[in-house]
Amino acid sequence: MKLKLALFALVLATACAKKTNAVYYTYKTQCMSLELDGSQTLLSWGNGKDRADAVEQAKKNAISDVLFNGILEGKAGCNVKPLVPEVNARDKYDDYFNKFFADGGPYTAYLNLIDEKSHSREKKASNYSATYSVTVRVLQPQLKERLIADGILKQP
Amino acid sequence: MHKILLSFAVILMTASGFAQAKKPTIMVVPSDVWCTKNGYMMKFDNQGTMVSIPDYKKAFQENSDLLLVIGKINTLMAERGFPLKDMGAVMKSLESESAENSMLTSKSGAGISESPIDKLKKVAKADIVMQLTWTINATGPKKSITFNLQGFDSYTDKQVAGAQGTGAPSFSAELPVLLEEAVLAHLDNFNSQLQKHFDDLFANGREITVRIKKFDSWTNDLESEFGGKELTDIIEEWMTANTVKGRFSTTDATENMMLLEQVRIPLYDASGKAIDARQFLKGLSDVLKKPPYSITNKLMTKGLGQAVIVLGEK
Repeated sequence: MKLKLALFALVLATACAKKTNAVYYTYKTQCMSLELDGSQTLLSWGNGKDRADAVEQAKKNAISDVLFNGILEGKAGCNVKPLVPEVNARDKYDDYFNKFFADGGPYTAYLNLIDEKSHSREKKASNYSATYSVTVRVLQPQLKERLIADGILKQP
Repeated sequence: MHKILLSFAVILMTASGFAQAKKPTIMVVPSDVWCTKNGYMMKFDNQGTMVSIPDYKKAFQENSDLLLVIGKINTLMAERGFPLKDMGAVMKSLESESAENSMLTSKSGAGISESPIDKLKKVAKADIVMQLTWTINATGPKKSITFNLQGFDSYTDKQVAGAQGTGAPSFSAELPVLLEEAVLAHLDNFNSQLQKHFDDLFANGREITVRIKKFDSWTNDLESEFGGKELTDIIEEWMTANTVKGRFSTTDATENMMLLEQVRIPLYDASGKAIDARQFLKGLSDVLKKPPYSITNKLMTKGLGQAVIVLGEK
């Protein structure tokens, strides 16, 4: 009886939780940890038509934030400076980056899900689309080498 | 037992998360109003016009209440994770510069002068300057503090955050305790305004003001043509290419001067080094010095967020 009461309270609390439309909110990429080999573990968010689409977008957002924005949220330690500090680089090299971020494009080689705990993906409620978080490890040193080789970054 | 289970269920439903964002550096100073009321102002010769500016050194040396108040605000902000610039240390490093260095001139006489306050901001390199005004109210045996806290972007001197209020009357006589009682309820809201402004800097760049002038001795002007384009247009094209998302406003443009405001500069240059107004505008200065323009020019700054290029001489 007591257990049933507790379960009922649990269900009631979930049912009464306010639904928000996550599609209108931009969730920022957060630093989870800094692997000492130069790669960074990030918690990023993506929005898409379903879970798979949202997770793929989250991966792209993680790489995009590392390249153009720097990681300002979460734990201290990740690079706050963008990897591509040149001003308006996304627009200047849009031909290159459009291909880079295409579905199944070269970006997939520079991240992995090795640090993701099972069932850790958080879903945000939305009437129009799916918003999910994903824990990714971005291979920053290899990404930097690729950009230098392709002429986006200058040789140090 | 069922109460414990119920409480446990409610606790499970509660989720809270705090993201540690990068925070702006803060420097806390007494406001101009407080300095005027307490007699800590000094005169500064701004190229022939005498202006009154706060004499922070005298205020810190003579007023013990000021030290207590600034110290309390510093403590409250530090507890909330904001890096602080110590004003005392900044002022000591300023003292090593001589008074003559405050006037910068070209070899033929034109000049721009920086007030000691501009120099203070330039040396401190704090993102936000917090100005604090307070008065002590006495109602019978009880006392309270009325305060006004203003956060100014040190590059533009624009107010980006504010908090005002009066604390509950208290029998406590100590100034830091009264101040904490007054400020505490407002501080988190104030900090979220600061953080919002700082997040905007990262997303859209830092705002500065740029002036282009010419020396009288230069025979050309800003309407002179180079390769079929007026110099004004060449400068605007450079600005579009080098500001964040091409954001700037040409407030005024004549043959002798240009005023560009709300210029959004990136926080880092192409090599990843943090830059301010001077380093940003050095790019334009270098472009104008080289062919096909070959215009000798002088780059000067006022504080952190104003830079001037004067064309024609060095």
